[in-house]
Amino acid sequence: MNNLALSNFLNSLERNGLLPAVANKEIQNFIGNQTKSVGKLFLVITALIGATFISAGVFSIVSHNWDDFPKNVRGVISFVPVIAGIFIYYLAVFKHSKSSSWIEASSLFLMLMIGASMALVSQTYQMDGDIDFFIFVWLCLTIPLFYIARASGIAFFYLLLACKFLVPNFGFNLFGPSDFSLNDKYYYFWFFLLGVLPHFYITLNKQADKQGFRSIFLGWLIGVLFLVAMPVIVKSGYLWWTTSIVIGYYLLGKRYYNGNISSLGRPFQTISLFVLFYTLIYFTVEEIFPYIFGVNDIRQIGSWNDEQLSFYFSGFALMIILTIIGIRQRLKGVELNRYILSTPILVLALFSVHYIKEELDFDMVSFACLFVNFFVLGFGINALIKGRRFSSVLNMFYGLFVISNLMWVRYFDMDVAFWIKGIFFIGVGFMFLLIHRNSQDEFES
Amino acid sequence: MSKKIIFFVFALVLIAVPIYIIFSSEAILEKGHQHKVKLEGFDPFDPFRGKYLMLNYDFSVDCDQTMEEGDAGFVVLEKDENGFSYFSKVTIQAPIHDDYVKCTVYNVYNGKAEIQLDNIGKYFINESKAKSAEELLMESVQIDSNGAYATIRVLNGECRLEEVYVKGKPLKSFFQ
Repeated sequence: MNNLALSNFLNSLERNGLLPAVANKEIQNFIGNQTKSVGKLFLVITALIGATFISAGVFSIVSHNWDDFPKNVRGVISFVPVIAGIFIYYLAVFKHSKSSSWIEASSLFLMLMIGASMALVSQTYQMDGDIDFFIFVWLCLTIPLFYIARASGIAFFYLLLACKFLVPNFGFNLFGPSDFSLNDKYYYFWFFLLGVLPHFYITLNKQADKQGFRSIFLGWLIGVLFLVAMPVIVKSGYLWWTTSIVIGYYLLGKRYYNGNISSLGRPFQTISLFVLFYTLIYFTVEEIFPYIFGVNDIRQIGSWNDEQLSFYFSGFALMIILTIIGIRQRLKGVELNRYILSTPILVLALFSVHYIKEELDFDMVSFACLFVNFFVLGFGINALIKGRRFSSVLNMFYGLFVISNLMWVRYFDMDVAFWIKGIFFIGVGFMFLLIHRNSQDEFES
Repeated sequence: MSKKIIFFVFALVLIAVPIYIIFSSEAILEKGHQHKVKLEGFDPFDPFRGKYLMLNYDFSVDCDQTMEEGDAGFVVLEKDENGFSYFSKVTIQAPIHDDYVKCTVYNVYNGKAEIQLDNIGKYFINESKAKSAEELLMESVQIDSNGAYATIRVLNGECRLEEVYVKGKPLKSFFQ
């Protein structure tokens, strides 16, 4: 039902004496506020799209190359985009500081005009230049835009450009790609990520566990990008860093986003739960064990370079610190998932199992995998129970997702006689039907 | 510090960056030593800066034994008997007497290094002239290997592309 129809319906209820006039007014105010906040978002997005197209037009005009003009005239023209950007930004900061649309669109416009001016100068002076350096300077000049008027929309373009420092180097010869190496300027990505983090912290509503659209947007952007970039920007200790993401994201989400209603509104918790799920599923596969725990084998530590050592130990320290913070919070009564908090302990235990096998030739890997299977099963059932208890269908979905995926993986890699496997999975199928039956009364009544 | 002061400092920095690039480029073009380097060209497209001719040079040069892929070095420019300059060798230390340009080594084989140089590889040109310029350049290179060359300016390890010449005349003069 759209808002007008809803309003008419409420008025008819009031006319028929079914709804008091005061309640009708309150409900209509509430609906109006909801519409206003979505409307504001619409305005901001429209302004951002407008600024992007105008900037694209400016880049196109720049691309024409006005080489009929003398060089000094072209030199002066080079300043026009950035000066126009500064002027619009000035208007936004000092004349329309209350308007999110003005702030966001002018910041994006200025960011892109900085790039346009630099492109014009380099075109005038025939500088093909170093594209990495070009982007580095451009992004450095963009950082203040996060803090002067606190624009957040530019974070998308800013971090997207910073991803240039994650792109691997490919060599080509006549027959196709000839060599491949990871980008050795990955630390620029760290630098630019750290550049936007204080802005993200400023936007958080620290007094509540519920955040607005801006913080949710930044949460998703930073959360997903860090996760995707992690294999490139971290040089060793991946397991520690992955576990740190699980715990760190979860704690951050619980602290600042827990009051948001949907999983879309809780970016860090959602990402954390999916990373946890995939990490745990890996641990249940015996064949993958040597690859997970053999990467950056601690016995080779003497041959590691400083970069590997620092990432390995900082990742480890981060995991331990976050686990201690989580345990302390739980002891203080904060409601935190015990399965998530015990993941680092599980990881350390599995690490020990791997090294005991390697060093003492005492194989407990099968037993460890079996244990992780039960851990994941317990985790899934726990999500189902909690979902039921708090009437959270999403939690129940997650539990169902975890258990069913675990079972499908086991279906394909379980090395037992087919008749036993058959009976086992018929049992699993009936277990799901049992869950259905138990939930039927609640959702169909 | 008030918001206005922060804003104006930021605006000054934004304007200072293009000014710095212009002044450093002008210094090289004014005071740098001129070299003529043989080339050939074709016509791709840059999404930010428009059409340009990609200028290819002979970047396969002798190098120090210790040089490895990814090293930063200095490529020395020497002149041949026809007055053309060529990239003669790559060194780890900057030479004292010769003209040199900072470079990156991206491949080493048989005592030769494939190098990469910034700022002389693209000749940005008006979109309506790019295709004709490319054809003229290609034709000129095919007829006479000395028919097309670029002049570059070199100063303190930095270089800038000054002009592209075809049949002894600046390329742009053919389209005026």
